[in-house]
Amino acid sequence: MGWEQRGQGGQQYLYRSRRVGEKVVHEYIGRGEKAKLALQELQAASAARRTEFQAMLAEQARTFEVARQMRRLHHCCDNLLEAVLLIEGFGRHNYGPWRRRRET
Amino acid sequence: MKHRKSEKQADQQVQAKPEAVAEPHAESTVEEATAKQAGVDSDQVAAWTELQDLIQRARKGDKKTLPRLREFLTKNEFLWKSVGNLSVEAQAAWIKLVAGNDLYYRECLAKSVNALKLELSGKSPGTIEKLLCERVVMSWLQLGYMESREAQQGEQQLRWAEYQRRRQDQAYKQFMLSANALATLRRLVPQKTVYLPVVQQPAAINGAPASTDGHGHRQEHGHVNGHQTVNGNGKLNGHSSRFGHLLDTVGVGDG
Repeated sequence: MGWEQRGQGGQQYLYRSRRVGEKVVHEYIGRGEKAKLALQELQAASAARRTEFQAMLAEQARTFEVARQMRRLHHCCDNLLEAVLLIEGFGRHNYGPWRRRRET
Repeated sequence: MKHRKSEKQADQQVQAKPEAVAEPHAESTVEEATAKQAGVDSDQVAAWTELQDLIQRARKGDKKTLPRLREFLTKNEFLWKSVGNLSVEAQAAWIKLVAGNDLYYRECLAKSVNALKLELSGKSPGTIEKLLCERVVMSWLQLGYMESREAQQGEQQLRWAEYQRRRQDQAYKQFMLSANALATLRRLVPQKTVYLPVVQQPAAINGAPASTDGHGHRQEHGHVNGHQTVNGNGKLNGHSSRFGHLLDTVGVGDG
C-alpha cells in the first residue's frame, strides 16, 4: 500500500497491492482526504491482523509441549491396546471394528 | 511491501496445520522420544520398535507372533511405565495451562482430575485399562482447555475463531477416540489380562505384600488385572461415572 505520484502535476494517488492467485494486482483507492482516511483504516486493519497472528503464535507456543506429549500418549496407548487385543485373539480389517478372529 | 510479505508468510505458517509446524518429531520417532523422556537406553528404544514390528506381523495373521507378543509385554515393563509417566507429565502440563499461576486453582483441579480418574477406572483396574482411563481424562482436560480458551476470547476475528474451532474439533475427536478405546477394551477383554506385568514390592506399609501395576500404582489383591467395573457392554458397574453414558454410547461401534 503506498502513494504513487502520477501525471504532470505530481498528484499523489493511493494504491494498494494484493495478490490474486499468482498475480499481484494494483488496486486504486483514491486521492486527497478520502485516501488519507482509507489509508488509516487499512493500517488499523493490518495492525489488528498482526496482533491476531501474534496471539495465534503465542497460543501455539503455549501448548506446544503438552500437545507433543498428548500425541505420544495417544500413539503409545494405541500401540499397547492393539497388542493386548491381538493377544486376546481379536483382529480388525482395514481399521474397522475389532472382532474375534475365527479359529482355523 | 517487505512488511506485507513477512506478514503473509507468517499467516501461511499458522494456517498450514499449526500442530504439524510445531511438531519436529515424525510419527515413526514417537517411541524413541517417549523412551528418551523416560530416561531409558537405546535397547529400550529398540523394544518399542520391536513391539511395532510384532504388532505388524500379528495384524497380518501370523499366529506364531502372539506368544512372543505376550511374553514381550510381560517382560518389558518399561513400556507401561513410560506411558504412565507420559500421562503424569501431560496432566501436570494441562493443569498448569488451565490454572495458570493460581496455585489454589491448580490444587483444586489436580484433586478433581485425580478423583475423576478414580471414578472412571474403578477400584482395581488392569494396567492397560488404567492407562486408557488416564488418557480419557487427559483428553477431557484438553477439550476443557480449548473450550475455556474460546470462551475467554470474547469478540474474535474470523481467522482466530477458525483456528480455535479447528483445535477444538481435534480435541473433541481425540477425546471420543480415547473413550472409544476404553469402551472397546472393557467390552472385549474382561478380567483376564494375566500377561500384563505385575511388580511385587518388598512390603507394604502395614506389612502385607503389595502389588503394583506397570507404572507403580498399587493394586488390590485378588483383582490384579480384573475389570470389576465392567459388564459386557463396557458399562460401569458398581460405581457411577460422569463418562458412563458416553462409554455406553461409543462402545457399540468400537474402533
